[in-house]
Amino acid sequence: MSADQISRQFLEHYYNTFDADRKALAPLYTPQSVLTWEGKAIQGKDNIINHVSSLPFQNVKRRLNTLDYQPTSNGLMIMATGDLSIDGGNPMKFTHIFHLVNNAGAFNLMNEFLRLNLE
Amino acid sequence: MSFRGRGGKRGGFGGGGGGNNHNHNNNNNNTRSVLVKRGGKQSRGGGRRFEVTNRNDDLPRVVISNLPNTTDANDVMDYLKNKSFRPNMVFKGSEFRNQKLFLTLLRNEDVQPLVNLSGTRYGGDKIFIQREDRSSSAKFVKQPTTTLTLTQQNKRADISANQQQHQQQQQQKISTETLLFGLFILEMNVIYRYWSLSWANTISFSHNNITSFSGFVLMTRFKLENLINFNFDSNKITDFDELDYLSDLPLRELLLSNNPIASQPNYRMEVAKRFPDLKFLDGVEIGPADFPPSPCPPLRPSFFDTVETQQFAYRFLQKYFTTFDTDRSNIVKAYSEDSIFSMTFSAGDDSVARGSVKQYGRSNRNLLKSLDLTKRTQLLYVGFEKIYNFFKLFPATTHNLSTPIVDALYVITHGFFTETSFCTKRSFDRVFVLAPAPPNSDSAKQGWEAVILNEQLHIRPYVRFPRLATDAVPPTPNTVTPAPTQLAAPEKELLLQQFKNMTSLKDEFAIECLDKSGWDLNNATQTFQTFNLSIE
Repeated sequence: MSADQISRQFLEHYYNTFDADRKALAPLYTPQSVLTWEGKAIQGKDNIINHVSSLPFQNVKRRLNTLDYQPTSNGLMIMATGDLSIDGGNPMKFTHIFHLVNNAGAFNLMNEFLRLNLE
Repeated sequence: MSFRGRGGKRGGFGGGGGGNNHNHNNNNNNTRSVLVKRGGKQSRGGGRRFEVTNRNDDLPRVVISNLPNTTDANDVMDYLKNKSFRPNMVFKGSEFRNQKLFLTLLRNEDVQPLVNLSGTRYGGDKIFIQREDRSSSAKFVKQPTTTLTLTQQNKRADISANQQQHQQQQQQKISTETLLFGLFILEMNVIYRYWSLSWANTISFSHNNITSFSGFVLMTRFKLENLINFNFDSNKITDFDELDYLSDLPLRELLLSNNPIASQPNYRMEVAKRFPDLKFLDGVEIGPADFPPSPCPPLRPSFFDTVETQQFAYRFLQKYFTTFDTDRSNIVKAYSEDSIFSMTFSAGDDSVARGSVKQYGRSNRNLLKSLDLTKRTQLLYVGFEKIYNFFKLFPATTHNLSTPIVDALYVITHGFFTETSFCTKRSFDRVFVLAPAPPNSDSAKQGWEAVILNEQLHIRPYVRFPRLATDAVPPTPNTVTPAPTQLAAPEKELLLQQFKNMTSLKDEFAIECLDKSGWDLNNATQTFQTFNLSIE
């Protein structure tokens, strides 16, 4: 599978799961994973899942504007930008960066950054 | 655009200044006021006439601006004498004020030749020479259309109408919006040039029946960056969208009282969102209470795990962007032969291709667009040589370093830059994955602490910086933030609610009290009781 396909499939999987059941994102993270959510750093699978599942909104509509990836020494860095609308609110720009690390054939999400950008 | 003025045939801000010379100042005994009188219909065909009554109790003065920082007044005077071919010109004095040189002349007839020299080059820069307008007094006239009160001492420009005329204006509405729009622009230009509005920091348009700000958008074209206080009291603004026309102005204080908009739901929040620099709305400070709870997470400032990372990241970015902007050829040292760079670009809704849109478009590695494998590979720049070749073609830029938002570990920065040749602003997100520079490597020798392993740049249409949540201020070096203040926003909210219930304090005071007590409920209660006793 090419890196391009991996990036697309990963994003599709991530966002679908996020929208359906955020708890189901758990297998992606490891105890070492770090999520930086709007400037708040959260480390470890359990903490991350707690954080994302306790976010106070329900429906997120996304429109991806750009997607890019780069190979890194042990994985793949994916950068997605676009607009998102929370519970029908005004669309906001976001930047979402994932660092996937190859762990014996499977990919783990080692670092993840989300920034809502300047409405 | 609808400035509804009194009588469509007259130019002006739509205000009638019925012969009043009213000032909003209470202590303006020595303010200098200029009443600009315009003969109604004359203003139409370009025959605009400004009459300023000079008291002539002082010698004429000229103001010279845009001089180099270190300037010898005598040298300027000699230069001007030569340049104007008037060796007998007599200067009675000189004074530097607000980076401007004021020259007092003995003879009135020397003023015009000097003003004519405006635009001439002195020390490489164009200098601007104006007659100083200072000793003018207001005079009553029969039919003025606008009162323009410029009070230099108090830095106010008042383009208000008073309430009596307000009634009249409503009866005589402007039909040609375009006419007024044009006049407004002309007006601003005239005001700016002739009366040097650049010194003003407050401008008042109260009681003018203004229903839209669309005409004001052009104010941003003039160098009015000192104007930070706007008074639109008692106008007819109804819609929040109107505020977007002004959002490029660095407003600090705004009055919108007695406008329909002020009774809209979430009025204060909606206004505050649009003006990140706004401190006071209708005379009341913007505070957390103006932002009701919302499911959207607040935008937060930079995040760093430690102060060291912060310092490291800022040092890196400082060096990176300074080199990138001013010494592009040396940027190559920040990369190694394994470095990877790529960029994406969203043009936005702006269909006009300004600046370097085409160039960004050519390098856009947006995988959502159908790119074939060759193209995809081409646009992934690997190794310092390829990366540098790309940057050679990248437009000259000036990055704004004062307010970047940074997430460390990986250095991710959000900010904006200006394309130097087109003056086009664009926002960007730039991700760096850094590794320490190997000792004795070229990079280390050039003072780079880190080399870039991966870099991804995203360029998008410019948006102004938003108001950031204030509860997560980035740590400053050598200050340890006490743990309780690092409570998450929801917890704070809960505490605040409890504390408010106990003390019946207003939000702002409750927050202040809690802040001072490190967000400890017991401490805060004590502080409150002590304070309460002290005022009783």
